[in-house]
Amino acid sequence: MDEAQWFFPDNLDQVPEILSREGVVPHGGGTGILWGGMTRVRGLMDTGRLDLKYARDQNGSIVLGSALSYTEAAEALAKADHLLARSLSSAATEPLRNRISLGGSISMFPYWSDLMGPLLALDAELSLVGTNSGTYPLSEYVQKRELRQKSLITSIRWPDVPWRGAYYRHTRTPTDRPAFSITVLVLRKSKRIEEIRIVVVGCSGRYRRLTEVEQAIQGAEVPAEPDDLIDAAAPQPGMDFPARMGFSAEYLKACASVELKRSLAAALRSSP
Amino acid sequence: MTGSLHINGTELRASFRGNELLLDVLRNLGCTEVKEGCREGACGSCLVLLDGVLVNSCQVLAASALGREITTVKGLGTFHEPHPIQEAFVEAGAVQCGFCTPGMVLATFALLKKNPKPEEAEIRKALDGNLCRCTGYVKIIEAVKLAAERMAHHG
Repeated sequence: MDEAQWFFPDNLDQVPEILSREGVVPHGGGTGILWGGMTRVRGLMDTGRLDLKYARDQNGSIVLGSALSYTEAAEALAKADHLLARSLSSAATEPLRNRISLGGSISMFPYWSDLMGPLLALDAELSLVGTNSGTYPLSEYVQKRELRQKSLITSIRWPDVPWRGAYYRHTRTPTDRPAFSITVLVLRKSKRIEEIRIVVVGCSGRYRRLTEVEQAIQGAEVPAEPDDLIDAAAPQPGMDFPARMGFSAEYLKACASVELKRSLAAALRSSP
Repeated sequence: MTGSLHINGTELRASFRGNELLLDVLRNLGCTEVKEGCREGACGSCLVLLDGVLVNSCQVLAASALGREITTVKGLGTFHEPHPIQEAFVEAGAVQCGFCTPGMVLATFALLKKNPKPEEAEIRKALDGNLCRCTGYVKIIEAVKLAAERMAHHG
């Protein structure tokens, strides 16, 4: 990025025209733009004057504005002890959490993201403005590169369901970027598991929903000590890892296998 | 591009490139209390408050700070009228080479504004973005506790 032209829209109506210009990308204040090799960026659209910092309960859903920082989103969700509040509070460092925005983090989706695992497990939806104006499942947005072009994420929404769960990030020190993360969400009715969702971020293919493990556990009655159930459901989960951050691929796979079982145990024990 | 930066209550006109970092613009304007360390957002030497929120100025593009209130450590207190946090750092012996001190003081200020009576774990968490190359962390945490006490008594 050499010289960049800046745009400061006051309302969302101005966004499509600005983003239709060649090489103009949204900037919510986060750090990804500095790290992402933005050599083709010719212009930056600052989202600071748009009304995109909010957290709402809306018709049984939680809706977050895309310009919320990690800190702001974590504070908004902390009262409900939401898993996302815990994952976002563990990301990066205090001043970086104050700066990284939800929208930017979703559009960049780095393998170390502490946001994407929980959001993918929650089956979140995104609202976009621009060439691709509309509402899309997050999983579709991640898969289809064209959705990320010339469009601004304005909000993130998911059904407000009383999930319990566990979040694990594999780091050497607390402020490290995680080599991978594991999100487990559980919905229990008495001892029966109504639904379980498991997402690993940072594996080959960027992320994987472990549906085979979910199917093996869903509908089961959870005993007081769930280790046997977990061993049977997740003997060798099908996920591979690239070598990164000084960890070999084999080492990460072995660690992920162990941490998956621990995360499942923590999630099953945490459920009411 | 040209624009106004509001630094410690004073409006300054500045010219800078669209991809220039707030850290560099501030230092070019003479705010050398904003230290240049890692330039990666890892060390906290360059911390400032942007509209009251603690940020790494090396991770902020200057253009996105236009029209917003920037506070450096000089905005908290002066040599003759230091802020209670600055006094606490001196009294606790939390200043060694001094390079990390502006960032540490601002991180402490941001913490105590939100949480006037932090537990030690909360202090450690709030300072997780600040590195001290002299490794004087024990004294720094004592200074934060002392500052919290002083500010609780004196407002």
